Amino acid sequence: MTRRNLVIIVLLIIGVAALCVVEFGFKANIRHQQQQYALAQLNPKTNDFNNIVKFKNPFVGNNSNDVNLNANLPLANVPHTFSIDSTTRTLDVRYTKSERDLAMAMSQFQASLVYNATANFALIDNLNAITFSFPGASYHATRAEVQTWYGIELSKLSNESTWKQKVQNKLSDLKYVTSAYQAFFGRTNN
Amino acid sequence: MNDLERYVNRRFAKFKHNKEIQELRDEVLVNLQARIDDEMAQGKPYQAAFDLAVESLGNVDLLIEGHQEVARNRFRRGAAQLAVLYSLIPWVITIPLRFFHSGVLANTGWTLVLVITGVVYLVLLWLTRSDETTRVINVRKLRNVTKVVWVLWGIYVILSTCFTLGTWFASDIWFHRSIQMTGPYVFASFVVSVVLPFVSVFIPLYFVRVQRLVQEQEGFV
Amino acid sequence: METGGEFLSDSVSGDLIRGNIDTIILCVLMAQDHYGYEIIKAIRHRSDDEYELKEPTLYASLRRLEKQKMIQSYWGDETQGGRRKYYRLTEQGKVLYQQNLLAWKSARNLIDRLIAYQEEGTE
Repeated sequence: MTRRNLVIIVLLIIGVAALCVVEFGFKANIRHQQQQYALAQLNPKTNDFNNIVKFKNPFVGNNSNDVNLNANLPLANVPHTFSIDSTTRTLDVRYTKSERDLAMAMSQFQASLVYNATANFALIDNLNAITFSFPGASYHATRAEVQTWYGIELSKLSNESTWKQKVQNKLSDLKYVTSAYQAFFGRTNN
Repeated sequence: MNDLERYVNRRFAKFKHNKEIQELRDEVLVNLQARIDDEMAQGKPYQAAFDLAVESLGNVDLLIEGHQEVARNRFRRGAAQLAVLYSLIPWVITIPLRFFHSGVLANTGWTLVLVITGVVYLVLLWLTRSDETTRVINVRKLRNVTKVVWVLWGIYVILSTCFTLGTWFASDIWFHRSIQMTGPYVFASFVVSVVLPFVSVFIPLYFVRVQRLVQEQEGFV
Repeated sequence: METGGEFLSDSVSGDLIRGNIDTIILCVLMAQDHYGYEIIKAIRHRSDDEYELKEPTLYASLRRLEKQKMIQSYWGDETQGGRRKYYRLTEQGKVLYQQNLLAWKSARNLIDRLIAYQEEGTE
């Protein structure tokens, strides 16, 4: 009887130890990594292309795909709605927070818009134009303008290395960001 | 019908009245009567002879096959201790499975079971420190209960496997899509969902073990 | 501890008797057929009132022996009271009795040799 009690106590100790390791060690680690990853997606410099390439779709009319794609891009954490004009094939992303309330650095804001415009054109094949609307300001870009900027057909930006090389890595250069921003949206910020 | 016959009938009342039991009752009655007659022939008064006969007979349950006398509290403590052990093992097994959602559910369930069996065991240990009364266990009934538990477990396992396969693959099969796993984690999650119900095998195994506990008590009474 | 009978001596003998109860009952039946209480009486008598076989042990043993086909039961024809269940030895029972008796004698001899203190010079 006592030997069995010993076995019980030993098993209890092992179990509690394993529980701590799993819950407070491994799983906490995983949760942390997931949080870090989610945070990284909101930054245009660290957004994971492999995570958004699966939303490549021929039609802007595929509402759920538009939603899913932008949910994995920078500014996804800002509440927004979508509106699609099917004749002009324009996607309008309407943000409910004003730029000032975003509490974001200008460079970060500009880089995000540049990145998002590029991603939407690269992955949604028949998208013609995109508008990012904020209370009090809106930013409009056409495929032609963006394509001219990059110098290649945007749908060709389909693998990670090309994406990093031609789109993402350049965003570290502030001057580059400002120029691209002006070229896409045709204005300087007020 | 005299006193003795009434007494014996009362002792045999709770058993099935088949031929075997009836014959045993007749035999017991005749032998007890012979004993009483013998004692009285040696000078004892009827009441004393009757009491001797009753004492000599003991617990009729033991005469019927498939009964075992056990030390009540020791048996209870043993059974409670085994319950703790048999909930402890699946609890430990399901801890590493907590990486998966189904594993978290299962482990939490077993944690609850473990807490309950643990409390029962500790309470028993505290309350029954002394007191060595005995009790008769109907082994045959225990064996039947064990069989029922196995059947129920089998049904549970089959149903949950069908359910799991259904939730995972039914839409694929319905739409004639090929079944695919999007990665090792997803595959592992599937395997875990299928395997988890089988961990409950420790419940019927517990009943089997208790049967052995009853048999082990034979030398201890 | 389950006692099959009552003793003037200690419980070690209880175990020994209980361990051989089947053979003891076979022995009683060698003489002649008996019913339950008669077996108890015969054993009590042969032990000079030192051993009282209790009913539970008796019935367990009888059932065991009958299952092994060492004894056979039959109902007697009684004029007074209820019918009695008599037991007789089968041929196999007689053989088993002889075997068990032999086994007991050898065991007893061996234990005698091992357990009794000898004078010095023996190992």
